[in-house]
Amino acid sequence: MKTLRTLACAALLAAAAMPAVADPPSPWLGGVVFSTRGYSEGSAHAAGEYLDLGLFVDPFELAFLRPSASLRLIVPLFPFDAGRIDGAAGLELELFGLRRHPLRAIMAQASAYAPALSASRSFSFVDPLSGEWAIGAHPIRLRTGDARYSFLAPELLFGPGFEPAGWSLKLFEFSYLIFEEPRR
Amino acid sequence: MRRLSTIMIAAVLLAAALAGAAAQEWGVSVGSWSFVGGGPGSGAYACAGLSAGLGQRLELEAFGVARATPAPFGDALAGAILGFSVFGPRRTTYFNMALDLGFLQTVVEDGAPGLGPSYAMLRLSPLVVGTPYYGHRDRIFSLGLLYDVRSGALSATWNFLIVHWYPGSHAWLPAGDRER
Repeated sequence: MKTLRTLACAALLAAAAMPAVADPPSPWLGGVVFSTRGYSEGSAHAAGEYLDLGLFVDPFELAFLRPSASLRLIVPLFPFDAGRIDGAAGLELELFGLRRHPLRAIMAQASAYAPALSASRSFSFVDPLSGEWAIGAHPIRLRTGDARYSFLAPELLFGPGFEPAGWSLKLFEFSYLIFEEPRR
Repeated sequence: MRRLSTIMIAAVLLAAALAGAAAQEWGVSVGSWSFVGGGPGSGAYACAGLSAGLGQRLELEAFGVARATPAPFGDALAGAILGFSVFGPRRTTYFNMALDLGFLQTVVEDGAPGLGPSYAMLRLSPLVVGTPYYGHRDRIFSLGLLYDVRSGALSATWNFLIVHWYPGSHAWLPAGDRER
């Protein structure tokens, strides 16, 4: 029984690592991402609306546990403060893609419900060691052929020594795939 | 001033009822909102609303705005907007501009429910992409002028993005029915 379980787990992991062969291969490698967010009371950030602007790569076409990476600027937009623009590097893990989902009626294109988890490290350009770690979830996230749409994504923030440092909430995050993979 | 707020709320409710009776199509909207230099203060706000199309160019929307950060639901406002499509009819002009005249009433202030400051608003959405016909209409980079009815102070509002969905539109019909 134990061997059977081990084989079943190995088969699941192998299936997760295989490309999603049911769909035609995507020509996209990466694109641009933007989002608006705010930070909680008690965090190191002033109250206001913040804009994330960045680039991401999404090189692996996996049906499960699909990773992508991003580099961003976090801009205090209202009130605007150029001196407090931070950078951030992050990883995102799309858990799965579900074609028949309750939100498909609001999308004009074919879409998949694709929740994700994320982790990132932000850094100040003035003092790169003073940044924060963030662990987040994207519970309302849809993927189409050339974009990803996420709504109400919370993040827990941790200081440089992993001490709790408040939270943030991304009201929305849209990612558009615009960079093609090099032709083989 | 409280009387003025009551009259405005009654006018908005009456207009909403009339709009409901005459509406061409219904829409749902969600988006982000910021108050700059006034209003309930700095923070990230979320808005959601219901809209009704009135004629070729007008759209009436009833909506709520709630603070998302730093203190969720610490402030909330309810309001209504009458929007005018500047460049052409709403249903056929894919790239448009919208000019809105609105009223906002504070319904939660510093965490306490109750009627607070009220505001008149003039807002310009310079880029409106999509139409109710296609089921989507997005307002991008909307900038508004807010007038505090009680104090007379002026401030600004900003919406990075407001997404509208029109669930009853042509786009949501089954593929075989779209050519009718």
